[in-house]
Amino acid sequence: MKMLKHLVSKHLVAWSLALLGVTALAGTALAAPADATPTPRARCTSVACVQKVGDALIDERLAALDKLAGAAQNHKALTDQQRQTILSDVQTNKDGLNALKSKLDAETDIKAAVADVKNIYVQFRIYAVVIPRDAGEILLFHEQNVIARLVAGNDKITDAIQKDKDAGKDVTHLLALQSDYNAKLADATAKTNDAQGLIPSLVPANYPGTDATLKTYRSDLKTAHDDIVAAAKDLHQIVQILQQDLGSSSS
Amino acid sequence: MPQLHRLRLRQKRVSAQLFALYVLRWMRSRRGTWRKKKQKVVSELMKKHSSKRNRFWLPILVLALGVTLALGGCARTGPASSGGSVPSGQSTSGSGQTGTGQTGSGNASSDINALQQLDQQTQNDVNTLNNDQNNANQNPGNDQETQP
Repeated sequence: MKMLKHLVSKHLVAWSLALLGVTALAGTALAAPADATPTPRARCTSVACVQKVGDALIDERLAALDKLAGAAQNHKALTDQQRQTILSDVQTNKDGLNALKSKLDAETDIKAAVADVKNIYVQFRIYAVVIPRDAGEILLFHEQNVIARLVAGNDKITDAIQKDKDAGKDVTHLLALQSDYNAKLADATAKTNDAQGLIPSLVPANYPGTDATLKTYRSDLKTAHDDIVAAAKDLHQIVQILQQDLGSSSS
Repeated sequence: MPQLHRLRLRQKRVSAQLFALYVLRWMRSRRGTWRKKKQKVVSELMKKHSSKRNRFWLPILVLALGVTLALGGCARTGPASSGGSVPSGQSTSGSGQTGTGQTGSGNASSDINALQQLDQQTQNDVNTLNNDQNNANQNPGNDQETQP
């Protein structure tokens, strides 16, 4: 009797687990096709429908622009002027989108409403051009500020290395690090200048050519970033060596 | 009669005793004031003496302090102002270095402090630059035209 009870309970557990597994598999199988094949968009047949779609597209872009403005506003490494450059561009685009929204909402003809919706893309290119360009500009400004500070710090490095040399220390490695530091900063400066030179061509009118320009723009910014990181490592090593050589005698 | 004489004598003796007692008490009271006077005079003398002593030592102390500070300042600024004198126990690596080689002012520790600050600030900047780069490389949305 006891044996039978034990067997029944064992089977019950096994069947429950199997059922659970089958349910889960069925759920995944049913859910998968829905994700894989998106439902086709239904075409609008009324002005109100076009307006609704257009308003939603504009609202999405306005929210993205607000996010960008927030990033610029809270960025402590930017100067007021740099911050203002981003904020005023965001505001210009927001004003334009809001004007387009008002126009769209006032349309009574479906063709005119569809043309307005098209202008959300054609005139603004918020996702394809404006936000990538301005987000890159925040990075560019930050990089320029860091480069300027590091270049200004080179005199202090020269002084400290000279003092280390006067103290009778071998400064060969320090000089090599300083040379690399300056080379990296020179390259970073060149790359940021290149990136800055591309900004005027990053406008909605140049789309889709802006895709290739953006690629170069981002590549220049990345190289400048990598150069800054390398220069920062050189600086860190220089400071550590100088601390070892001069830190104890000076403190 | 002799009794009267005895009484007068006794009266005289009592008054003499009383006078003596009075004189004694007066002297005692005077002794207290003399002591106070003496203490006052002594304290005044001491004060005068000590202030005189202060008046003498204070300028000397100030002078000594000034001389010490001046000497200390000269010793500290000496190497920098002279264009790179060598720390004690070490020799110059080249004759051309001393005097003309040094471009900076201030001591080595101030240079290192400034470089440490720059290093720290740059490390912080590198972190925020990484964030900025991630933001710049993000795809914010799709701008592919779709007809409503």
